Amino acid sequence: MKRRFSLSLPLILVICLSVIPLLAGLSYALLYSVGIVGVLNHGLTAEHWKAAFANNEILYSFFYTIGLSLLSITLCATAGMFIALYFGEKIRKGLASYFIYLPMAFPSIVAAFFFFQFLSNAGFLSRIFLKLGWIHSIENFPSLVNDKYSVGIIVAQFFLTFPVFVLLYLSILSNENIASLKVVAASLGANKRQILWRVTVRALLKKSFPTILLFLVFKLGSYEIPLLLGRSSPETISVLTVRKMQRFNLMDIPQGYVVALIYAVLVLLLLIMSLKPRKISLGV
Amino acid sequence: MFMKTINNLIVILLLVCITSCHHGGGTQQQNLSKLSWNQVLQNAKGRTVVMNMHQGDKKVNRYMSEYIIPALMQQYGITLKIVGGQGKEIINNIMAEKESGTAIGQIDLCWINGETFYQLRQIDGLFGPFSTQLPNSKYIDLEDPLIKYDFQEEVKGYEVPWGKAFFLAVTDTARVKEPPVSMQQFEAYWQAHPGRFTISQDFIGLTLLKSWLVELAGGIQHLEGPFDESKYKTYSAQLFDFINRNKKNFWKKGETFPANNIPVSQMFGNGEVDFTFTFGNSDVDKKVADGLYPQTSKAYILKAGCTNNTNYLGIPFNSANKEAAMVVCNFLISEEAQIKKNDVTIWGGSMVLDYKKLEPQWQEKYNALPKLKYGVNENEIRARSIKETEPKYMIRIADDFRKYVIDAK
Repeated sequence: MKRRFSLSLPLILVICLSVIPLLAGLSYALLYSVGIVGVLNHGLTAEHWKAAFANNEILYSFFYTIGLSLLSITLCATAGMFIALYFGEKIRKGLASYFIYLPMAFPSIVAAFFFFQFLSNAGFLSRIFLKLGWIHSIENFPSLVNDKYSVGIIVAQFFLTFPVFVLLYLSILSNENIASLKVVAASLGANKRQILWRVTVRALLKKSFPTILLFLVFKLGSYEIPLLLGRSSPETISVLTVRKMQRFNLMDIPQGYVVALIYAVLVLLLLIMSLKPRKISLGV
Repeated sequence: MFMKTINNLIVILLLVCITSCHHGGGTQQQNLSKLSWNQVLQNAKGRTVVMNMHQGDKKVNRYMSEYIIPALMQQYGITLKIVGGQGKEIINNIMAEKESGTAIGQIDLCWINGETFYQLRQIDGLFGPFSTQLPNSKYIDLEDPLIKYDFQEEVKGYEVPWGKAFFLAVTDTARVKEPPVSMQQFEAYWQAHPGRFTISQDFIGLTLLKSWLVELAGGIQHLEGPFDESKYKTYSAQLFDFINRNKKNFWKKGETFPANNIPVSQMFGNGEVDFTFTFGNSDVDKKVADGLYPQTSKAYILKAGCTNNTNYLGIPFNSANKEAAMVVCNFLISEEAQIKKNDVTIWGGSMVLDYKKLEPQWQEKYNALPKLKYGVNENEIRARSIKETEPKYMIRIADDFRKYVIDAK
């Protein structure tokens, strides 16, 4: 017998608050990118798509952004897990509990400026090194912002995100009864190393996977930090999109929509493929 | 059933997008030119004018909130409400309203420069002509080429000048004994002092590149008028060759360029680079007073001259309070408001009025204003001011700077 869908209140809310704005945005971007809407467009054309792919700029930007986000999230998750496992609940007590929440209060733009001032050649760290006689002039200080290896971006993103992972893993450790699993594994003859890698780390990763993925998506769209601490080329996808959309040349706006559209579709595919979709409530 | 509902939603959404976005007409331009100034004043009374302007300078904000807003209310019964936003935001806002056919826009007045004017004229986003209707426009030399043309485009009354800005180099005379003026001198400086110069990728950096293009062309007179492809190709090839052969001596070996001039100014302030650039003659005085720049800082003019970038006030095509916006414009270009604005202790923005047209008592007040310590002498600026080139030069330089310098491996 065929099941019938009913539009329950939560589903209507999801459609109204999430699906419709998303589809509206994507539709608008698509129509703009093919010349159908837009005050300076003159009708259906593939020119904007051709222009966007006239060089490898977009491709490089995608690879760079994905690589950067993966590296940044891997570092955050690893450090978060290490701290949660090593220090356990002690981190939530005393001054440590205050400091662990502190980075999360920083808006990205503030963190970006802070690390620019802290890590640049004439920054705080460089001046300390100079004062200590470890470098002869500020020019000798290693390039840590706007640098080839994106150190500044990674450090700033790590600073903002790793506390979230510490708290996440502490929460999983206390809620998921991992201690009992460890006892069971030990009673079955597992050694410390096996308990750590095959039980604890595996359970933590499994439980935190959706969060890791969501933060990966969040990092893919990060703007202020790569804008201020990144290099002019390659640019992250968000910086490239905004540059195309807000440039002096209004004719570049449709290309910005091309990039935004590809980015949105990729993120959606990533989420659809990786996250278990919630079942749609069936008729009662 | 569910999928059908979703499909229907998508179809409706697409139809809404197409129908709502393709009009782009907005309201018809109202003809207010037949109204007498008294009628304009009558219609303006009791109205609220929403003004879009850059709010990044506390002195400017104070000038507006402590002087302009109360004066407008007291003298004309107009409420002036200021909301933040500049170039890109103004364009995005008016463009979105135009695309969606919004009859009554959110903004009644905006503070714009040549870049924004060019874009707004492209989308037919401004109301006008109206500037000659303003009684105080008699104090402005509207035939002055630096006012009559904005980015080589005749303003034709679609915006009213509010202030003048000049492109200047800034250096620290304690670090740079003989500030380089020409490209040749800059090249020699970079070779002797590697890593202490960079170019931002924003309007300021692009203006520097345009200044060098003008220098290569042998003066602004060779780049006047419409965009000339062959001239551009000749001079831009020389320009990018000049940058590429020297960029190894730039900040970060020229492997990256700051997105905007804010970090460049910060780096100048903390001694990481030896030069920054500005569009405000009083900018250095203000930054020295705030402790951001060393007291040995100095603004100076490059060989090509001092690119003039008059800033203007424009009324969006769909403002519902055009008469009130006109009254605000008229007050902002009054002798009193302009001289107050020119005072470096209040704002330090260059006056747009013609000194010769001022009443003697206002000339006296102007002469009594405190003089700049670190800026360039006004007479020198006046003598060396040059017009902006046609906008396409900037569009092409921006594209080609990325193509031939930033992305070039």
